[in-house]
Amino acid sequence: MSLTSPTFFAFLAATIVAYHLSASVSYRRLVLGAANAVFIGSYLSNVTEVLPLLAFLLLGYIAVMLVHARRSGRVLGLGIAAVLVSFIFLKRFSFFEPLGSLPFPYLLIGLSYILFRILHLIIDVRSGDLEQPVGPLAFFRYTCNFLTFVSGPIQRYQEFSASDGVEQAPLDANRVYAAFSRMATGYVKFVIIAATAEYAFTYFSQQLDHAAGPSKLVVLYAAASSTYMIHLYFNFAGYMDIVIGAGHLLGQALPENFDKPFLSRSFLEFWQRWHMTLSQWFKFYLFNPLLMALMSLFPAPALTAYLGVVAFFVTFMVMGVWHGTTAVFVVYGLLMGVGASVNKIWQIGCTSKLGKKGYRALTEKVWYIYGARGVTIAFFVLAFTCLWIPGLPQLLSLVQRLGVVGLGGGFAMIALLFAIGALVTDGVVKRIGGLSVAGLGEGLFVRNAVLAGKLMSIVAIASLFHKAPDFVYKAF
Amino acid sequence: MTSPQIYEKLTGIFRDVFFEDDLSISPETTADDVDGWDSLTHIRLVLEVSKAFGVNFTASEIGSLKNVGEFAELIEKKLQAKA
Repeated sequence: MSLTSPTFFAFLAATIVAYHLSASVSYRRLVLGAANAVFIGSYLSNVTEVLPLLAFLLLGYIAVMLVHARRSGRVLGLGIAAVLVSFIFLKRFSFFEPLGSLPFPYLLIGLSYILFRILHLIIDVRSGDLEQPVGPLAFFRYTCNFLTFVSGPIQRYQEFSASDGVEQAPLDANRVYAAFSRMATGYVKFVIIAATAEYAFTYFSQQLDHAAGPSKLVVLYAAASSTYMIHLYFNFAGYMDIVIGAGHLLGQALPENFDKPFLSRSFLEFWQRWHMTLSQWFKFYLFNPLLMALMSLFPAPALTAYLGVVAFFVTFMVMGVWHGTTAVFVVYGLLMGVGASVNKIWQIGCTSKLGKKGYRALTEKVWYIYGARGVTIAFFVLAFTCLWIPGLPQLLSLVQRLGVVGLGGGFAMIALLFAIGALVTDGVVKRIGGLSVAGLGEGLFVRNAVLAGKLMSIVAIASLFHKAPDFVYKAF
Repeated sequence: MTSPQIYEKLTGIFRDVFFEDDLSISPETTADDVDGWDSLTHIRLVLEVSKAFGVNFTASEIGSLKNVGEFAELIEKKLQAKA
């Protein structure tokens, strides 16, 4: 069920109306559970397509229950291993082809996010963070919540449970307006900005193969990879606005997943602002335990920074590889690992050379801020090539055609463009911010006019495109 | 162990981890207030606290601590549960 389809609007409206027909918690949970089933069902053309997902959920639930019954390290390890092996098998990672595959098509959407939720449950039940047993229906509502099913945000069970059919705050006109406004903003990002960027990306990327001359290739590549970045961000951020807004109408406070990533001044800061719930998940369940284990093995405080480099590398490598099932995603994982490590080494080097205060002073200089923002975004723009290029041979061929000079030139061009763009945007925002819309105020007329304007723009622009935009992150 | 005793012990650990002999902490102290309190030193701090107080922290506890006050409260809770 596409987020831009009339079916989705009808489904969402029906779910919201049904949810508010009664304040009974058990009734509302029933509505949410049924909505999840209908949402998943919309992706199926045959009942057998859902069987692997059901088996995966059942395995996950058994693992959670076993860990709850016997909180031993061995059961925890076995549970995690069983869930991971099943995930790898079902996702058909190309490196594990000898494992074989199921001989029929089946639903893969949502599987990665269900994995995160199941692993979180298993680990938190073992640690005692989750003491109450999780019922099978609550497990289904949590792991298959239709709002977060396709691509997050990754909510922790503790937060989900607090609003599972329980009204946190009664809906009033302001809350309903805020929810609709958030959803409309999401559709503006999704249907207008991301879709326009996608058109531009398609235009530039299609010319890459026939680019005559190295300079034209570099310019086309810079344009294609930059527009892909813009497309990816607005597509994903728009999706988040839509589900977070819809969540408010269903009493759910879903966690935020973006915090202005284009303001990032370093690789590590970028991941604190981009897909935040994924970064936090990896921090909680991979980076922190791994670093603790390394520090326990090598307790010398002088080694802290170097152990950190190792932990950052491993964490970002795994996070990168998670994005896909083919060899090109290993390159992506490596790039993420290298980016995190270089960032940490840079921090260590600058701090030891300039001192903590000197390094902080350096990072506050205007040229450093915009330079760092440009370089950070340029790194991700180039690394994200792995997300849109069809495979490793095509990536290698592109890199070969660009050469070291072409790649360096492309990097510099993108960094400069984004740095200047950031400088200009900040200047404009500062000036416009000073003028503000104070004269118009926040009255009923203005806010409704703004909402109507967004809706009209969505309809107008959507009618110009011949196809409805699709959600790009569902592929990962 | 009383709250002042916990803070006294915690102050010593903070000074050792951040190599600052005159570092003082309060319940409101956050990572932004202490030079060098990043994700790496945070884990070093948690390990030292675990060792000094004989308590363990879960993944979400380690990741969700917002200030020293929360840290001290958590230690106190764990010490009470142990007693």
